[in-house]
Amino acid sequence: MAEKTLKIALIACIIIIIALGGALGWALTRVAAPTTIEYPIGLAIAVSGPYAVEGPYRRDAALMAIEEVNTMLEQAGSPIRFKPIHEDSKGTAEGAKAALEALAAAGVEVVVGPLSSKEVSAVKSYVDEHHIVVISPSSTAISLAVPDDFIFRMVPTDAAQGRGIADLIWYYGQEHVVVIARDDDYGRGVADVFEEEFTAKGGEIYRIMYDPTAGAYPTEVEELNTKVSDWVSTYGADKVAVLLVAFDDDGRDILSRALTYTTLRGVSWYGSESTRRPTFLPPEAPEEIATFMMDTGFKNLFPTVGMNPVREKFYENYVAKYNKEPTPYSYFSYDAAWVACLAVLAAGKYDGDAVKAVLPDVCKRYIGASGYKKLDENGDVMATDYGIATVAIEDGSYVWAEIGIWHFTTREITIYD
Amino acid sequence: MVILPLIISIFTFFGLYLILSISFNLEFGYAGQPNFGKVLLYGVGATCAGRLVATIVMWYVGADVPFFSALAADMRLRWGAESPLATAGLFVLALAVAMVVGGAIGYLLSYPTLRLSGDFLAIVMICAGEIFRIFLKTYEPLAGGPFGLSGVPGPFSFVPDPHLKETLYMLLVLAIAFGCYFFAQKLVNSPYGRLLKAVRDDELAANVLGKKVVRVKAEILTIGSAMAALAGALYAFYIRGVYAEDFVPMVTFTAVTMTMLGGLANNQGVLLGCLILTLFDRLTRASFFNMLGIRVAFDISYIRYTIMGLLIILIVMFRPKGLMPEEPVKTPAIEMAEEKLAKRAEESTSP
Repeated sequence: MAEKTLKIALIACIIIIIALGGALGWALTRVAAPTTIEYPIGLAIAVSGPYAVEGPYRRDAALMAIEEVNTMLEQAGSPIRFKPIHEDSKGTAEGAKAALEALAAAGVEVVVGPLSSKEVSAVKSYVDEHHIVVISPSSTAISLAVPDDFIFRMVPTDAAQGRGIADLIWYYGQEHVVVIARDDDYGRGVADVFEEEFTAKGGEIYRIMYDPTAGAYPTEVEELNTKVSDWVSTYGADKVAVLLVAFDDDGRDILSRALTYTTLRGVSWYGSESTRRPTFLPPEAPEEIATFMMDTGFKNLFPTVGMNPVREKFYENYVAKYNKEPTPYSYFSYDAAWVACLAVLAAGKYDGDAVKAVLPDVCKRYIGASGYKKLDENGDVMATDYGIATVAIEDGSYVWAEIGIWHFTTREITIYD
Repeated sequence: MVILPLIISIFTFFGLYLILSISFNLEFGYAGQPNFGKVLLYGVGATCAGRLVATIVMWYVGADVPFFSALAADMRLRWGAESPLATAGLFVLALAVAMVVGGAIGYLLSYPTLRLSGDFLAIVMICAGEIFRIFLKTYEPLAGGPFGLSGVPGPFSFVPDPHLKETLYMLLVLAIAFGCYFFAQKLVNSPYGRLLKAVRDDELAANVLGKKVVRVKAEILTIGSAMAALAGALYAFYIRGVYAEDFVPMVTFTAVTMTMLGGLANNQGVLLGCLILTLFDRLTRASFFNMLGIRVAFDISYIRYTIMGLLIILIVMFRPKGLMPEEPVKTPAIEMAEEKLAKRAEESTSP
């Protein structure tokens, strides 16, 4: 009996391997006469796990960019086309490595993504060895700033954001801040820089780091309320603030619980750049969250680009195509995909080394939906000024309204009238 | 040459999960101990190996850069490329340490099994895995907290061609995985294997017959945990780092699904289950369809998860014992007895 089952197992294995080999052989021999030259662009963008909500927005933005490049090439009569291949990197190191391996097997040498610093860190040695150019639209960890590697990043590192938030809160006169942050690479990165900058000014902070996979945060919000109440009774409500470093689901859960506490309604709230998402506002979030944010003067920072024609066009096209508003990081994904395609065209060949060589020059001459993309010596976008936004009602709808700007070079804050 | 990364990805993943699934099969399939904390030992193995190698290399290099930075990771990998013998030695040391630590934790885990069984034990084990993940993510000095620890040089770091390097590592993982498979086969087809089944089927009866049930449980959990830690250590060298968020309960459930699909208490079935699920995971990706020249009009990522869930439901409904159900233990004594019985039957029917 055992021999029989072993035979069945072996036959099953052999059939699977033969089927796999046959399929691959068929694929490899199936060469159609090319009328166009297709270059694959890998999209290692997580659409599950921590990015289940926001990942699809970024993927769609990158897909739209590639579609636009193809339209442009078609109109110009060029035989070149870009073919997007999306792999869900799952927001984990293992998922990112598997996605990169799959893309490498498909012959991809230019990749948009992964999204998080932890994923970028996990694939770094792999892409460096295989000479695959990786353009991350949202990795911000300072520790990944390394010169002459195959990693490029389209968003400034956490250093600028952390500094900006510290300056903003200090500007409004709050000296005691309770930070409630995701306990992951993003949350820890922002909280670390903020703590360093804010305490250097003489401020005091208290950190509550939460597990972003928990799903519900009643204990953390209770702790937040206890600490804020304690400080309010000692220093007064005008001297105390809350800084929320969160993504969509966790952020909304915390805000929906916080609004039930009177003390938490009475102090100023600030947020990381990741809170500047339409998913925090109606219709995607309950109206009471938006009201709470207005009541507490919730403010956040985001790399500013001002309105430019590219940004406006992107917004219009995105809404028309997908019937939803782009998230702030969608702008960066869109630019990352555009830069990837332009770099391949500028290199004149589909080769990781060639693309890596021309990419800084391409970026130096590129102003996209998320602004000017000049890179520093580490291949990261140079820090820019940050827009300060708060929740407002325009034409009966809740929106993020820009009320000022934080200047990166001078560290000054200008609040518009 | 482009197909090679896919083959490497498939068979390295297959090797790692084969070790993990076999260890689960030994504990649960044969001994009836539902160790749903597989990921705990997997994570412990990875952390031990990754942290040990990274620490020794940094100590040797002596550079003054932050331990968890990408710069330090690059330095470690460069050092690995220049020191073939040392990295090979470190690899062996790391595997040994991971197995010892994993085995020791497995032994300690046998204590809850004295008081708990079935679902309660499974829940305790799942919690233990989660506690480890949260600790690893929260306590930065161990493995970089949420940022992770990167730049762990593997045994073939000195090989300049990345494809060759990864192929060699894949072969090494497969060799170790099949080593574990044959070890498990030998174990379960011995008198000890029958003892495991006796403990699984009726603890009280085994006790009455003078078998030391507590010791058997401790032993099998030690062996299974050492194997799981070995898989974790190999994983750390494969991904060249340690990332807390990789050690989620899904790792355990994947190993459990592979075992269930193949057949509990049947190592051949586990091998088949691992192969089927690995091929399913790797060959239902957009990249693979692209290689075949097939354009999928929708995002296949979501469909993959749905099909995977459906597959598990169908297996549980129609093949609850897996594709290759458990079989009687083959020992020379049983074979002799069968032969004798057959002979007697023949004699009795002959005129």
